[in-house]
Amino acid sequence: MKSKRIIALVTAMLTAASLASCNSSSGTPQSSAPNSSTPQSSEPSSSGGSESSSAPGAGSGPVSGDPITLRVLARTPSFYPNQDFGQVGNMMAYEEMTNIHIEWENVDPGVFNNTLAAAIASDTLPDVILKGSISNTNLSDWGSQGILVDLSGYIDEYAPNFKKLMDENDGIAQAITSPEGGIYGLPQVILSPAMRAPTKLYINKKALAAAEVELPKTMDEFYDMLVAMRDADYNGNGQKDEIPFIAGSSFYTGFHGSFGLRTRGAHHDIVDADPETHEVRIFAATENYRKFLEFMAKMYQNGVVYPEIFTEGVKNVSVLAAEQKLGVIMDTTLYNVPTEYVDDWEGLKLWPAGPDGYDIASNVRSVLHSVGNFAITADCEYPERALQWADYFYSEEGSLFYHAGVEGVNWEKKSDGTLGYTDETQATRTAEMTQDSFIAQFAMWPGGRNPAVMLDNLWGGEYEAEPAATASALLDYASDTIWPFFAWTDEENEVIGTIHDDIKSYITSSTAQIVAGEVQLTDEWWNSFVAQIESMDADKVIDAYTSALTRVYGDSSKF
Amino acid sequence: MLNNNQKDRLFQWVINLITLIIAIVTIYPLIYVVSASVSNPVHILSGKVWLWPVEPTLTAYSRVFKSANILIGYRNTVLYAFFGTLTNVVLTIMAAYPLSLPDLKGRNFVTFFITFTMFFSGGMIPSYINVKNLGLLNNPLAIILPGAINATNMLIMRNYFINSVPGSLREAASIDGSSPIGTMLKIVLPVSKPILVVITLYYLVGHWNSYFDAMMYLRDTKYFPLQVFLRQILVLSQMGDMAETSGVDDMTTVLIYAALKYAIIVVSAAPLLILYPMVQRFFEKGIMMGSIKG
Amino acid sequence: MKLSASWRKALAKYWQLYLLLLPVIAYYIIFKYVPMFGVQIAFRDYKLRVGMWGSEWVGFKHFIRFFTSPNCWPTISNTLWLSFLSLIFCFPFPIFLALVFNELRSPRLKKTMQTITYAPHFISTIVVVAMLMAMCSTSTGIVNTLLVNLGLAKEPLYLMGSGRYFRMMYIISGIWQNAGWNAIIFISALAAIDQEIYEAARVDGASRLQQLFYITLPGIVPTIVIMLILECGRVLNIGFEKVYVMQTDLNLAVSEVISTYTYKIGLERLEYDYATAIGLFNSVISFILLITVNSISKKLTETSLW
Repeated sequence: MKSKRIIALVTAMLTAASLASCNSSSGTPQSSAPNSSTPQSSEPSSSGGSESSSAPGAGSGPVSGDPITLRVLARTPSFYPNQDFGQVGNMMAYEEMTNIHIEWENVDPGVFNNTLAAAIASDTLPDVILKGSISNTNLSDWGSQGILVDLSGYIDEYAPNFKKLMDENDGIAQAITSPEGGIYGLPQVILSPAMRAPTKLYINKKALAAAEVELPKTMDEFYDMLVAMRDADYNGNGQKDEIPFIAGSSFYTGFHGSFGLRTRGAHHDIVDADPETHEVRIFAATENYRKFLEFMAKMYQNGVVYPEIFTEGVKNVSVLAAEQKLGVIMDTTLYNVPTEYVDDWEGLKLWPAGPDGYDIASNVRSVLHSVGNFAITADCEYPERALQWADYFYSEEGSLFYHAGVEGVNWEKKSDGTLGYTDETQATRTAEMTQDSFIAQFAMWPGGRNPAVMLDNLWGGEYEAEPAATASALLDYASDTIWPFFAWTDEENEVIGTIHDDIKSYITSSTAQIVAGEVQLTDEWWNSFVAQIESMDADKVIDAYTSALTRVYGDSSKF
Repeated sequence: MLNNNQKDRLFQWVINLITLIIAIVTIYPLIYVVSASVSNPVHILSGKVWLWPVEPTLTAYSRVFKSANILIGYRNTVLYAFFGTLTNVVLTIMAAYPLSLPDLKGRNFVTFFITFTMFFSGGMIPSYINVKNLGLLNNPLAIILPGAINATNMLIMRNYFINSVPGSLREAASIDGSSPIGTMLKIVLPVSKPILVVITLYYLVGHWNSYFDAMMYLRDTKYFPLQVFLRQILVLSQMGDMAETSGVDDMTTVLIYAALKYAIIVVSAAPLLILYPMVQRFFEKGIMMGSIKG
Repeated sequence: MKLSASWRKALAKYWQLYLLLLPVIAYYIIFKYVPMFGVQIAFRDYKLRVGMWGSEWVGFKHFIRFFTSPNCWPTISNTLWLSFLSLIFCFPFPIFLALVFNELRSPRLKKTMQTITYAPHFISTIVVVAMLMAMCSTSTGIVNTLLVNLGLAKEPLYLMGSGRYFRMMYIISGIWQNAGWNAIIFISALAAIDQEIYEAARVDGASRLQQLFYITLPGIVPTIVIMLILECGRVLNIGFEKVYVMQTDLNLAVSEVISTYTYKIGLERLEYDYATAIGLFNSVISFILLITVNSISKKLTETSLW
């Protein structure tokens, strides 16, 4: 009896406490902006939209106006100075250019998602979410809840540069517009071919010469070349210590295209369309995937692939390259190869054809690299100014400003006409800096997820000569149809959210086991593999894709 | 048949042998860490460092200490660890002692009330909202208050009071007219030094190693504990994300970071490793018996 | 408020101690029970903006989704296997260490050994795994060099990649990292054993082995039992970080446990309602387990949490 009373007492206390915590909706954050009685934000101040129709970038400089303050929640990698975007050179300069003072809330990438969700749930929304790389799913979910501002009504007037990009390039508008027609975030647009084909094969010329073979055109020739590299002692140390092939952890996904798989580009992991019939399918459940598995297993189990590829990946490339042990590297750039050896490497300017003649470079991006990199919340008093703030980065001039810093201070036009960092800026680089921490002193490029366009005028990384040339060549091997990011409906989302990811992880782990030879690829195994995928409600995933594709392409023959 | 003396000698030999094996197995990776932290990183990556330093250098340490934040971090961590642990231990005793008395009515309910929270929690978002509603966002108290008592530690301490402090001691004291709190302070706590030390150590090390709450609740660099700064350097040294953006790293840069992560371990663990031997004397036999007799 | 006689008596005797408990109870209410209302999102279609009180009730939808997911049983069984093996191999080791150190004659050696075994606890998980990878590398790792040279393995074993060795590596590294640290509680319990009992035993002619089995071990049994009960309550809560860092495509089939699965759902996909539902299921099972083990222990050993 008495214990009951205690329980009642405690319950009462609990309820009281919880009510207290719910009612305290006080303390709404005040921005330090001057009282916003003047609708300064709606003034089409300075260059604005009027000049947007001129040549790209020209004249569409940053928009200034009355001084305001924006609170920006940003995913800030730790290699930025004091992990604070407010101390990055171009952002400090941009405050003066735009008259917008930013109160940065820098959040470590490790806790960014948590912090963002908590900020929304606890009603402490910032004005702007930067570099959030918010998925389309979350964008449309939060948009429909009124957390994020629908930008579609503002873009025409306040984002002329971005509008121009949308108008001139297929695949931007569809990818960022929710099924209900809202646009809740700005993407990273990549118009440079250099950025579009991240998976490249780099071949060591010395190893190739030692192996006495031609550059391969087919997968069989590629395999024979690797075997020859394995057996030829190209570093001449008398030991058979050459490692013909090294790549990121799942090297095999790079070769999907040679087997007519993953024909619709980099943004979709397990679903594609049959290259002939355009039928939407889970490509792992096709006979071609079995051929793919057999080939990859042959590569790994015959010792032409770095044996520790499942754990070490490209981490050891720098040391192994310095020891002259590597034959082929599958990677985005040659940044892991020590500078003095870079000239030994050349990118394969084609994609090797598989047994059935497919030579598709499968890991190719659409014109978007990522979505949801810039979003404005409902708490923002100046959505127009905020959007103008970001729009500049979608112009040629603004893109350079965003990625490389202030012209004349951080970079300049060299005498040979190319662009590059100024000597003063170069001089700030110390031995301890990575390329990222070097750039992070004055520009926002590092860490990716940028609300900006990438054109051909940048330098470094993917823009180095060999990676850029290889990427351009590979685009000829890409499918004609690269599916963009999709904006899913709620119903589709339920399916994509769980079933899709479950199937993906099943395929990933089964594939790895076959490739490593821990499981033998028998008829029995194959049948159960296909049956398992189907039993995981694969048809629901295909249905979701079909309805999303219909929205984008209309007719199933265009899938 | 061996006599007892021979058996004891054999027993000692077995014990010594086991100790030797344990020592080698445990110490090897530790030596590896220290050696790697002062070796030329190229040899770490190529696997040439396996016991002693190869081409010793202090580059990694100079990199760690060059960061101005490291000292701020040390200071904050010491403050959090000190005040946090103090709060922890006081509150834990305040819970554990009353709940250890067999005739304290309601003790089972309260114990259950506390144990329940070991399993059921609202999760990350409600906790964040709670901290925010209490006005603790970006406040150093957010590092100390939300974890002021650890239920497991409370149960361990309570169990010690129940099993290792004879009830007769308390009764004798209360017959002598000592108040319950007086008994706790003057009689029970002095004979419970080993468990107090253990629990203090648990909390202390917990504070020392924690970073998640700081990253969630603090924004101001000046409040960050050491681990957050060290983690920043550590994450920086993982070259993974870089392919995303831009690359072309000099070999030297890649290499410095290979040694950094080992230097960081040494820098962060050293203070507590030095502290431990001082704590150990409380575990020696006799201390407790002596204080009972005295 | 009317209090019964027994309460009045207890309050009269112990009012000071009840006063001590008050801040503790307040702490638990404010910092633990208030946020605990968050578990209700396991039964709702959680919308961040309208909050947990405004989101729509969906009953057991998220639970059904989990139980019908093809990942459900593999994940649970992986978790149980890993916990069960940890319990068998990791739990006894600290006790063993404490007993061995207790038998060392030289106090200096004793102290040194304790410090050495306690040190690995301070190495962060990420680095422990990085070291394991370096030491177990098939080409340059010292472990494989030893295994092959000693004839224990024909060719280098892919210890950190293959699913075959995942559990073994997880447990061995766990013992290395935490046995010395976890031994502290037993070492402190050993310190509480009355020295006079040993003297009496010696007079009676007990050998050291006998003293170990008849005095030392029984002396720390209550501590062992309590630690074991607590450990059983944690069986489903395999720490997330280490498994996550050790995961590879190749060992995913054995290394996906509840905590890593929930992490991927909650933090990477931001489906907090679903993640909370899985977490709640986890908690309920753990809690039932703890209560069961606790009451069994109460009957058998008279040691229990409450």
